Amino acid sequence: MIKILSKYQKIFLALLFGSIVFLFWAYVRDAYLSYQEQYQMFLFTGDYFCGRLSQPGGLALYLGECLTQFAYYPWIEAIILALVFILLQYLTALVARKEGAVEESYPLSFLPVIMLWALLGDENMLLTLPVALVLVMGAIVGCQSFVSRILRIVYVLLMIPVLYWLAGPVSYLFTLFVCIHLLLHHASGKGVVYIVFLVLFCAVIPWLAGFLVNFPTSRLYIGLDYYRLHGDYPIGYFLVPPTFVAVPYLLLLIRKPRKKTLCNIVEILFVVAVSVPLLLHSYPGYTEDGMEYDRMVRHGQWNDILLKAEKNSPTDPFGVTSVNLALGMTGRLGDDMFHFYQNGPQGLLTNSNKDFLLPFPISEAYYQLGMINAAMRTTFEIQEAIPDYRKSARCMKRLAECNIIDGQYDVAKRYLRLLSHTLFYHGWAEQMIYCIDHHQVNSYGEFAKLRSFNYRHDFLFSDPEMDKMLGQLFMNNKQNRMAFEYMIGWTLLKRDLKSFVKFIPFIQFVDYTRVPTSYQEAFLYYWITTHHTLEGMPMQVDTGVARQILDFARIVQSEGPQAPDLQQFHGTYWYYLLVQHPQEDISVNKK
Amino acid sequence: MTKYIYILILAVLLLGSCSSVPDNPQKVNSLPKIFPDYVGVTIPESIAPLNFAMADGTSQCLDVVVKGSKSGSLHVHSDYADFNVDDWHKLVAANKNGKLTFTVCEEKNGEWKQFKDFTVFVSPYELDDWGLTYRRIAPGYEIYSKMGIYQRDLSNFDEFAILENTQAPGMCINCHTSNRTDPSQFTLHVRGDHGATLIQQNGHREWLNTKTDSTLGSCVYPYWHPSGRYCAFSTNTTRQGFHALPNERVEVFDFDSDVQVYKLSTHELLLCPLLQTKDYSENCPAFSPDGKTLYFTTAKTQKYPQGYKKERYNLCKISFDPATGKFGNKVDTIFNAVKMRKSLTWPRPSYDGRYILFTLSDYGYFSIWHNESEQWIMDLRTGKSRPITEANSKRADSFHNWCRNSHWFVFTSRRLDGLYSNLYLASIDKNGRVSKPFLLPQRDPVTYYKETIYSFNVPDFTSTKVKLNSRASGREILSDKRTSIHVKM
Repeated sequence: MIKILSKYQKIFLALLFGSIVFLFWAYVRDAYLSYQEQYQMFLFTGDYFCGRLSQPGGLALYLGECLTQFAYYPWIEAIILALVFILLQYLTALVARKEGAVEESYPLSFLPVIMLWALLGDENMLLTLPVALVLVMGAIVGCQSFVSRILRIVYVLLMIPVLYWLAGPVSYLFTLFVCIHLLLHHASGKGVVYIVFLVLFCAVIPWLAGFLVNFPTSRLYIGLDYYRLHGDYPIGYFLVPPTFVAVPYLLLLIRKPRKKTLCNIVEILFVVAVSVPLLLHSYPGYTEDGMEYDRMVRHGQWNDILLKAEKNSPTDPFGVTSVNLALGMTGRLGDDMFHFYQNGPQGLLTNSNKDFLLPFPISEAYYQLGMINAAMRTTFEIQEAIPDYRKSARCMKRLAECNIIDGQYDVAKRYLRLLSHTLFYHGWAEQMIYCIDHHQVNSYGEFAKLRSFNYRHDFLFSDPEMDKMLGQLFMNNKQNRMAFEYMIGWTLLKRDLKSFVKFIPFIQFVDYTRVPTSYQEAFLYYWITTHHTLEGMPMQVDTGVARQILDFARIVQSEGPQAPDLQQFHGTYWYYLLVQHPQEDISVNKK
Repeated sequence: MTKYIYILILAVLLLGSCSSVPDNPQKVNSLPKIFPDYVGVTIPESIAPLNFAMADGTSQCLDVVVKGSKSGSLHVHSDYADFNVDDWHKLVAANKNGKLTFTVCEEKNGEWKQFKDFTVFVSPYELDDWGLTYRRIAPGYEIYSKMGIYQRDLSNFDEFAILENTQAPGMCINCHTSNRTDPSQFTLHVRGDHGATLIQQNGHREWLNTKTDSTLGSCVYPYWHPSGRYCAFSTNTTRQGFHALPNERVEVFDFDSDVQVYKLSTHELLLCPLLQTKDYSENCPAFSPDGKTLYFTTAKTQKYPQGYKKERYNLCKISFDPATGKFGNKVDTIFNAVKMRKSLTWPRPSYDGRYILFTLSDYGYFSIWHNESEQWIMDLRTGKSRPITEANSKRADSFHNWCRNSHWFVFTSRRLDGLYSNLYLASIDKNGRVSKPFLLPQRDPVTYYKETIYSFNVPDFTSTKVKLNSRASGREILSDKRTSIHVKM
């Protein structure tokens, strides 16, 4: 067995590595892949290809985006990533072997790609970088293949600018490789002159590129599309790529060992010892949580959101908004919203953040409520906020939906035409165009319902008056139960019990079999603080709820709002009002 | 670079498409429905080929023959009518002040149909400007992704970036304005963290900080004095609102605005109490061609946002002495839009002094977001105004500018889909008749116009290509080195 493993060691290690990479992306970090997919819209058109190729690093960008689109189905993307990683490792090992590294150093050739894997833990690192590295490593292997010195010189001189244009600034690794190779093998006077020339040539190319494209010179040296943000690059962004050239040369230091198997075992253990903590550190759980909520919101997995939140109630704005939306979509907002952490009315709807991630669940909430113009605006802003100027197929789809609901078919068709050039949205887009052309929009999915929810009378959107806007939405169509629950939820989270009492009578228009618990709790609190008795209360309240508030009041009166015993009331509106967020004034008589 | 890759791909694709020819086609007694709608338009001699396709996009092949009324002809046979630029120009030049007759045959489901011929008129008036400048930006709300100011050679399809916001991420660029289409003197604004107003004269750039303690804020909507010594600006405290209903999206209104004139040589702002009134918002300044009159719009300031629908502007004027930089002491209303329950915006006097183009909408001044907005023209010889029905559409027709000889104007219109604004050109003859406007030609108009996610706005003619060192400009924007301006005491 050991002999077989030893004989097929490379294949075995590559398969093992590929499998781990696949399992990691397919089952551990699949939400990360969905996250990446939603911030691009890869089009199979000549214009798109030409547009990408018209800037440095364009081919890597194009191929990176092409591969990223498969993250629509994360398991396909996981396979692709596994193959890209295996290819990079293979090229690293090949370069090392061609430079003269001993076979026994093979396991260490996994180090650069594992570091790259760790680097991808930053959600703003894009697949463009691994693809660019494949192109560069391929070019290095090509360089090693030349026997003729003249041809090799011509190849190098040609590849420096070409590779820069195709793969971007990471192409400097090619020059770095050639220079190290020359230093090791041709360290003559001429060689040094040649090296100096190559370094200068490599350095001047990005500067010259600045005459062809409109980007700051610094970005032409750092890279346009490896990282989503303009600045705040992680340190690994600068340290990891050089390892693809450095490691093959460092492997030359390893001499042929007497005990090959032992050597390999030690090396494998070393790689594992380095990789595990590095990867654990690079993929923090909280980032994944946000991405997972986002993916579930996108696919309408409302029960899954609540199941996840029941295990660990999210406290970040993204998670809170997602959970509230899921509660609203499952009809549980009135009963259960205070069972989860609440951060105020902004946990339902807010539009103050000009981010490219946070507004996704808000946009979804607007859409599901029937506030179509607000959903459209939020989606448009998300797309415009994507820092690397890309468009988003997810956003484009939602914009098309909003315009269809609004009856703006010509605008919708513009977005649908674009989506029809994509791989995974093509079918839907064609179907929608057919629906529009054949007047079948109302019979498709939820369009008719959302259309009936939309406003009838115009006004200017006003964030501070959200409760009134929700009220108008509900009065416009009393079948819109979620609008009612969001309106009441807004007043409760805002601690505005006066408005709550004003709006709650409209509950008669909603088909509840019983008054939701949090409404009972809020009304009971209001009634007791204003009337000091339960008698004459117009709302029917469950006996358990009435008993609970008396216990709650007793503890608050005797021990104050910080009493540990109040923990048992976690999940009630009173707890939110007096314990969780006690700092604000309440808009009713506090007696 | 992009162009060559594009040509290569096109060449490969064209080799294998549209091989059959119209042999005894079935005659159809109707005009072809083409996109863009070039049927009956009037074009200048220098315009790029009017490439078009069938509007429904279902044809397999088009065969188009163009015959000049004086001489020459062209024949194209392809997926869409894609004319050779040089051949097109030869034909159009040979038929100046004549007409071109288009015979269109369409292959659909393997059968050829021939439509009624249509004509395109070649104007006797030259369009003597080199091209157009405009901003391309997604028609969004508050955040902007990639955008920039571009220029387009009107004789072909070449477009060049003047300045893109990729040079300084996060910045917004707007209001590129040259002096009577002469790009040797122009201004533009940069908004965002590195905000500034650029004044470029004969290649020399000056980045201004136009905020002063005595004025409302930065300079906004510009208009050059014909002498080049002054530039009038509005200064606006602008807010946006967002509509709930689908047919409206964005509302732009000013809490307050004033008009002021910047004197380039002294870096001074010349103020006038009549242009800085307390209860009225003055906006959209424009100098007359002789430089002795400053036109502007004015509206009674409302309570915002509640009163945004009551914000209505009239067109007024005040005299201006270029020698002293002094304003007159009275304001005349020359178009009372408020009386019509309308609002006037973007006055643009023709450079020959005969007309003023302006836009009328129901309220406000940001007419591009108003479906009802339409263009009007005032004949300054008679004082009479009329809507330009020949050029207006049911959707927003808004910002406009004149070409150097004042026989052509360019304007933005959302007539294609109600949201994305595009550029149309129309001519005006000596009798004040306006021709049917035509959409700015593109090589592949269907793909370009129906799939672009950018709007064109603030178009203007440019007599020659604008020269701006965008790389150096990018550095200068990021450097935050600004020249302060001050109010003349």
